Amino acid sequence: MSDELDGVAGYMQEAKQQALENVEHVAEGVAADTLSEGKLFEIAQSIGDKRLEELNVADTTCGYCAVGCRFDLYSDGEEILAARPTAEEDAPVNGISTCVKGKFGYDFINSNDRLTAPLVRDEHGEFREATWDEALTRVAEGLGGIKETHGGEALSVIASSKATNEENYLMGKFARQVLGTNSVDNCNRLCHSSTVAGLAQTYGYGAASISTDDLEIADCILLTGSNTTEAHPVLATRIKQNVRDGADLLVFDPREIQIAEYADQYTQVNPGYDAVWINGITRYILNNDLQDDQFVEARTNGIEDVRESVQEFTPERVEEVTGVPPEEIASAAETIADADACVFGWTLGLTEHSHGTENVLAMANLAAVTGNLGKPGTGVSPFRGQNNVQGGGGDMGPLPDNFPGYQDVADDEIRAKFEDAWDCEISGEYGYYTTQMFLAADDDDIKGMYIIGENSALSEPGVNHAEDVLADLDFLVVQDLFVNETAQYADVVLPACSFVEKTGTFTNTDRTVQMVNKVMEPKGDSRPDWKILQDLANRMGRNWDYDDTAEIMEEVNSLTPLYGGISHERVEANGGLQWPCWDKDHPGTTRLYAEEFNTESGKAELQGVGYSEPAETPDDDYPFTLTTGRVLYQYHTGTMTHREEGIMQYTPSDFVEIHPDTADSLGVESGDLVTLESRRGEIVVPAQVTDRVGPDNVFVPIHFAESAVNRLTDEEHLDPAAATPEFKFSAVRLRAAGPEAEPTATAAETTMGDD
Amino acid sequence: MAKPSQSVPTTATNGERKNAIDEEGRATLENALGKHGAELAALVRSSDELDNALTTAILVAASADDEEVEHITDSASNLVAAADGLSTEGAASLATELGENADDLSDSLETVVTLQREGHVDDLAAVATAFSESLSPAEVEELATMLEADGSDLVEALDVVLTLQREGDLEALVDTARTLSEIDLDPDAVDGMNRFLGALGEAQRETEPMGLLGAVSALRSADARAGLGYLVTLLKAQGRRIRGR
Repeated sequence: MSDELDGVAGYMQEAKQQALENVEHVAEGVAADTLSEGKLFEIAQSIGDKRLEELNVADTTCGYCAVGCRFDLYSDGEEILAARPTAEEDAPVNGISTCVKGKFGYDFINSNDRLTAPLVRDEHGEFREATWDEALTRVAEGLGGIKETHGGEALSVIASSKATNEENYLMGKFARQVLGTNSVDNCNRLCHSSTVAGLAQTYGYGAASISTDDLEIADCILLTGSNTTEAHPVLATRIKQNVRDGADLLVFDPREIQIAEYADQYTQVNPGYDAVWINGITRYILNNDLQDDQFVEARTNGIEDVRESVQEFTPERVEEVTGVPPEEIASAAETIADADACVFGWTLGLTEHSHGTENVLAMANLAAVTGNLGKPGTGVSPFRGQNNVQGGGGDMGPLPDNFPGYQDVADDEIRAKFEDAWDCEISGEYGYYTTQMFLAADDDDIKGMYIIGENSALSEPGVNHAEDVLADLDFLVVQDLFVNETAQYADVVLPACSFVEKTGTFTNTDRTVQMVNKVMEPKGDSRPDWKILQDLANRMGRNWDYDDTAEIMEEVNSLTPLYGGISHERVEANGGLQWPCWDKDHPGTTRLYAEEFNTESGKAELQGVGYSEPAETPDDDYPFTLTTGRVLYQYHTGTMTHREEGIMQYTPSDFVEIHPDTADSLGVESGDLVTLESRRGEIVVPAQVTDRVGPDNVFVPIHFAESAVNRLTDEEHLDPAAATPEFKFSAVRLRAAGPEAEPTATAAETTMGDD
Repeated sequence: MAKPSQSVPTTATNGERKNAIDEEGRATLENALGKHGAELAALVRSSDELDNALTTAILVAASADDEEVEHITDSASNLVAAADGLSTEGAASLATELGENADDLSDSLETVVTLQREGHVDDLAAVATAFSESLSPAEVEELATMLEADGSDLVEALDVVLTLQREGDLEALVDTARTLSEIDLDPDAVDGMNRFLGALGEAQRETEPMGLLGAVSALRSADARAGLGYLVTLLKAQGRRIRGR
């Protein structure tokens, strides 16, 4: 990085830089006429290397999805200038690969509307700039006042899976120790919490059992509810490479997504009934004696319960409910049974249902019945979404029912350990899950919220309801990089900084803990989350004294057996460590369940799964099924990607995928505006006519504030075990919006800055 | 309870932070003009002479005959020779060559600044030609020493002008300055002003396309183009006002 110098020195510094450029121009002019292309490339490389010496370079872990790609980022101190491959041993998941977002998606860091100072409300209710001292005082008074009057249980914290493990550990600690509430949760509730519940019930750990390498050595991969090429592009690349080399790929999905083009078998399923077709496959396997008897006998309990429960899922019934013909159930079952090693992969198509946990239980049964666990090339692999939702959202315990390391809040012994370490009393009653917090606020049970790096005003189901809740809270503090749609409701907004401005760790989708290294200083007066939390805790009567995040991780080690041996030093030296890692001498765990399951019996506890269906099925009034999801060039509510000019040129706005037959019946063509209406709201978006979806289904991306598809989704019907909302199934009706209509705009649509 | 507000004070945003340097500098400039208007006006007049001299120098260089061009090129840090004789192995060493030349060239730029600061603007055309022959370390050393010996208030004030040129604020400020009464130069105030102005450099680090280089690109040989390109760009580094028009 260039030093900024004053006066003559500054001028000469610049002159020197210009001189170097001049020399390069001379070299170009001469070289173009006299040198071969090979030599030109060598020269260009040399010049490039010399210029790069002047930049800050750090290897770090991607802040978009949870694949856990690592690469070098280059910065001049103001912005991220480039992402390039780091040493391959430091990038165990991606090697030299990155997707378009990891490679180019960094304009948000230096965007004009990035918040660089705290905001409070003035006497007219408008935002004004405040000092950190004033803002933190207001937060301490706001949250402290509610605690004093109504008790800590009237407060809740939504932690951020964008933040580091260390920061998420502190978010959980802050909620319980400082605020006195167990109502702390995060975005996992909106995505894979049903995966965590289902896998934990069956195997013991709510996480992927595989290492990413298993995707390349499996003989067979079953993918469902996963638009892998768009949501997890680097994983998709590894899967495609394996398929190219001969592995079988089975894809079950309501949409004929791109990965289906590589599949040996693509089966279009009706959305909302995944346990039905999965049970159909398990039934075929058991009834045709294709199961792995040795594995089932030695390593599972409950096979008879499963055998009995799947009998109702006859081929005829499966076809009637899911649309999957009997021969496709049979062929998938035989392909899985014939394979020596099979991985079962899924994303939110399986989990974002009012019965998502049952879907996952059915999948866990199938993997166990076929003996595909604990061996190379076998296992279950939920592909996690947010960069650190596995570590920050789960492992670090910002959860209403678990301390760090999935230690149960209701367990007296465990709770006593944390009460002792944190010097506080902790209730044994579970707090509210994120989705429940918004319902509890309706009942006046939650009066204040502290939302960190989460855009609830767009991401919650039924956002009309979420907006009302946010507006009605007694006190709301939002900690974020931007005044996003949620922060617009806040009493105080605290400016946080991004992953390139701080140091810590993320844990990726295959349990690998990896370093996040600071590439540039925080923008303006923004601060890392851990420092904000520490300042706030100390204003509210505590005495936190962490010098850095490595010190926080040491505290995590002492309280969290899964992370007992994971230190910054070891993570840096090893290029990542996979949990469980019990102590400083433990090498980490490449693949779960090689010897035994993490249950009391040491065996997989299988349980039968009966018929389940969506909470709201189509009827005459709302005859179509809406599913929501992601597109490659955007990310979540667009906070990061909408500030990237190139990305916005490619995917600038929302759309609805409609089958050609449906489009014909509505009289619309691609580009025409269509009104989608559910029992909770309506939006107007342009049609994209495609047979990727079935004639009874439509699909809308989740990324755009202006159309906010979650106006249509249901906030009330949640998975009973995991409280996950049913984003993947809403009954809607459609109509052509007509030539005079305009696309929907939200009340809180972001219009500022360069967004 | 808080109603949603989209109104965010710009002072709390990164866009404002990025612009803050300019705002601060502008305020300082206004203050400085109040104190030193006459001196600045005088320096601006000499700066116009500088422009004329630079323009002349460019024309001299552009119309040089082959022999002169060759001489210029050869002495311009031996780059052309390095490129002509470049072997495969030699390509790898180019970065080292670049590094050494960058230092030399920076020193040479300093030489030009020195001459300008000493008021030798009328001789600059000749200097420009001579400069191409004066890259020997001994001569660079000699000129650099001369600069060090001349660290006067004039140098500081000239630096103010250079900054004004870079910011494109010069013309407006000159008009303002003419209306101001003559005030004694206060070295401390100038120092403070200079520090602020130095911070303004950020905005003009992004250089414009080499328009003048394009004008001489029609010359016959690649060597000539290279040498002249170097020289013209070097002069442009000093004469930013020319490029700004």
